[in-house]
Parts: sequence; structure tokens; C-alpha cells
Amino acid sequence: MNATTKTIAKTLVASPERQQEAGSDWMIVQRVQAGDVAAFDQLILKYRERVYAMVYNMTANREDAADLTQDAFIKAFQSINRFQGQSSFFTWLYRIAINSALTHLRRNKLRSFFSFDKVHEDAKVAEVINQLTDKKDVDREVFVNELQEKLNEAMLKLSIPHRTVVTLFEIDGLSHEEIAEIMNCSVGTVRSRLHYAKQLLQGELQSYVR
Amino acid sequence: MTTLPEHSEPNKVTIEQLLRLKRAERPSPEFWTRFEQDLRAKQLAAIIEKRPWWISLRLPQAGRMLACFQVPVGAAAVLALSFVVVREYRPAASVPGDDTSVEVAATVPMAPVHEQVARGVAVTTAKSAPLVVSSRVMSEADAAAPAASMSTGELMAMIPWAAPRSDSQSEAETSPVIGELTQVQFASAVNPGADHDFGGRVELDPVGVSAAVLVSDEGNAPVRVSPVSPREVRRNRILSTLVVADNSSEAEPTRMAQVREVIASSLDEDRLYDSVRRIGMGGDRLTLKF
Repeated sequence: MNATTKTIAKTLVASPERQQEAGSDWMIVQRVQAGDVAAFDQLILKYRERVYAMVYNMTANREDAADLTQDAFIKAFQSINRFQGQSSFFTWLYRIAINSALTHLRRNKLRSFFSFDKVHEDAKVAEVINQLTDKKDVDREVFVNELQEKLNEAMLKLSIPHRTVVTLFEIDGLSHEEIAEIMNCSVGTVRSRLHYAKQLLQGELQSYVR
Repeated sequence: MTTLPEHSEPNKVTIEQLLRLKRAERPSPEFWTRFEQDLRAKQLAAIIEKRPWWISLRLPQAGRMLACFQVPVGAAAVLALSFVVVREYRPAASVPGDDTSVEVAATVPMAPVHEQVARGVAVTTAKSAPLVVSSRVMSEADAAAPAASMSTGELMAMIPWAAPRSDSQSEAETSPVIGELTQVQFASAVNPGADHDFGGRVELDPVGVSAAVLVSDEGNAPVRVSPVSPREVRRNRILSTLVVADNSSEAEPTRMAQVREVIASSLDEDRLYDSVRRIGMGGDRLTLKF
């Protein structure tokens, strides 16, 4: 195990799958650093949806999210030679994307336009909606849109760090440790922010939440 | 089969379940096609785009490499700075007393011009303290020997403005200030010939804080020059050396004036203070503001 792998193993305390993923990413990164620009496409394909989802849930605007995701990949591509594998590529890319999103949010504090992606109803989501309403067809669709709007409004009422933590934990499914590493704070801070953010969301969405 | 009542309150879910809805918000496949096209265009533009030169310097890496030298470099910088500051303000910090004449001797005749000018210059204190004569200020034979052999009283009797006087007298004498030392020194610096053989005397102000040069023309009333700050002394010193060099090569006067202007402005003490304020110390770090 070389030094870089050791570093990745140390930083990614989450799961063996993540470690394996970080190892394969590092191989691709090394190819890109050696001049194989096309290898970067693999990284784009692998992470674009996750990065987009994260940025989208922070901005609640699909056009902004698309632009910011593209910018994050461009920045990562431009700085790939400076990436030395001290963290996983995924963490590094997430940091770039989050910083881009935060900069965008700060610049456009007073301007917020919603534009939502469609909710893809899988079994679990359908179950949640069924619990909330017994409406069918068009009425159900209207209800889901209304719920989506309320949910995004409540998210945007959170401060940026709290929104980031909720997005990364509840929506992207990252662990506390990974979030702490990405946000450069302690795990305790992540936990307390998550707790506080959930309390606020609960207050905002009390007509839906028990 | 049971049916829900028409206006029954809907069931509620947990916040985690509700947030699962957000996880299900996903763009369509067409979105990703357009996304990829845009990204490709941006990527090509990024490859073609010339990046600023400072990015290639890799400053963060250089900073990390120099991190281990932060403390010694910071300490050296502080030492150098304090040395410069102490050196700059030592003349201004002189206290009236026996050492004052030595201070004057050290500050005034530094430049070669003033050594020429200062033929016959006597250094004295205005108080009734014992007269101290600087060998650097006095010319070799004509002034040093008589001055050294005379008593303080005799010498003071010869010099009307050096004699002890009452407060009102001293006020009357000091108020009509005729010219500033800056001008006198500057004139002598521009033309360091015999025309400026003032036969001047350097005297300490009774207060002892600042120095004054007493200049007398032959046959005229003594000329009293206002106190001079160390800043002006320093400025004139540098100016005089430069002008002497320029005179020797017979440079054109406009160029000399320009050079003098530049040097005078660069010697501004406010700018020195300003540059000192840009340096800050915090913990084991030395910060420089640009």
C-alpha cells in the first residue's frame, strides 16, 4: 500500500466500497495527469448526477445547478495536476462543487427562482405520497408539485451550512465523517447542524410531518 | 373494503421520508444530453484559454514548503525592522545634556558638502554647559585651536547670540526666523563652492530637543535658522551627496530637479510610517499588506 492509498484510507473512514472507489478514481486521475484527457470523461459520467443533485438541492434551480455542475467539472479538470490524492477524488470534486454553489448563493442572496426537476416516483416515494394523500391522477400531481414547492421553500429558509449538511446527509446519503471532511469541520458540528436543521424543517413543514 | 372519509386529515410522515422526495427529483435524459454538449464546449474553451501566469507559480505549494521557515524568517524580519526603526529615530530621541553637541556633530556635517561649508564652524551648547567641540565640524587649524583654548565665557562673549539670555530675549531672537536650514543646506549642496562659506555655527536649542544652525554673513547681522528636524537633516544629507555627484558631471538642471523631487518625495516620513503599518505580526506569522 503506497502513501497515497494510505492517505485515502485514512481520510475515507466511511466504507470499504468508498475506499475501493477512491482507488479506482485515483488511477483515472493519474491517467488524466499523464495527458489522457479523454479519461476525464469517465469521472464526469460517474459523478455528474451526484454533483448535480447536490448543487440542485442547494440552489433549487435546475439551470443554475447545471451551470454550477459544469463549472465544478471544468475547475476540477483545470486543477487536476494539483490533485495529489491526499483525499479521494470524490471528496475533492464535492468540495469544488460546494464552494462554487456557496459562492453563487452568496452572490445571489436576494434573487431566488425555483425551477424543479420532476419527481420520479419509485416504490418508496410513491409510498410516502400515498401516506400523505389519497388523491389520484391530476389532483395527485398537483399535490406533489405543491409539496415539492413547500419542501424547497423550507430548505431555502435554512442557512447555507445547515442546508449543505441536510443535502449531503439526507439526500446524497453521505456519512457524517465524509460531510465533516468535505465541509472542513468536525463530526460534532455536522451532527449538531443536522439536528438543528431538521428541527427547523419540521417547524416549516408541520402540516406534513408528524 | 374500507375507504377513507372524504375530509379526513391525511397521515403524516417523518422528515426523513419527506426528504426522500427531494432525492427523487431527477432531470430527464434530454437534460443530460444538453448538459454534456455544454460541458464539452466549456471544456474545450478551458483547454484553449490561456491561464494567468500566477497560477503556474503554485504559490500555495511554495507557501507550504516555506512553512517550516516561518518562525526564523519572521524573527529576522522583526529584528531588521526594529533595527531600522531605532536607527531612524535615534537623532530625534536625543536628550538635552552633555551628549547633545555630539549628536549635532554626528548629524549635521555628515555630507562632504557640509564639511566644506563648515570651515570655522563651532559647535556649542546654548546653555551654560561646558563647550564641547567636535573635531569633525571644526576645520583643522583656524577654528579648533582657539576654540579649544578659550573658556566658555570668552567664547560666549564673542558670540552674541550664544550668550545666556532671558526668556523674553530669547523669544525676541527666535521669533524672527530668517531662513530654514533646509534652504541653506540645499543652497550649499547645489553649489558647494566657496560662496557658501557661511562661517556658520551649529548651536543646540536651549530646550535641547532640536538643533539649530546659526549663520552669519560677514558684516551683516547674524542669521538665525529655525530648528531642523532629523527628517530634514536626513533628506538634505542624501540630496547633497546626489547633487555633488551631479555637479561633477555637469548634468542639466532639469534632470537634477527631477531627481531631487523624486528623492524628496521618497523620503517622506509618512510613507515610511505607512510602509511600517503594512507589516503585521500575529502569532508566529508575519503578514505583509499590499
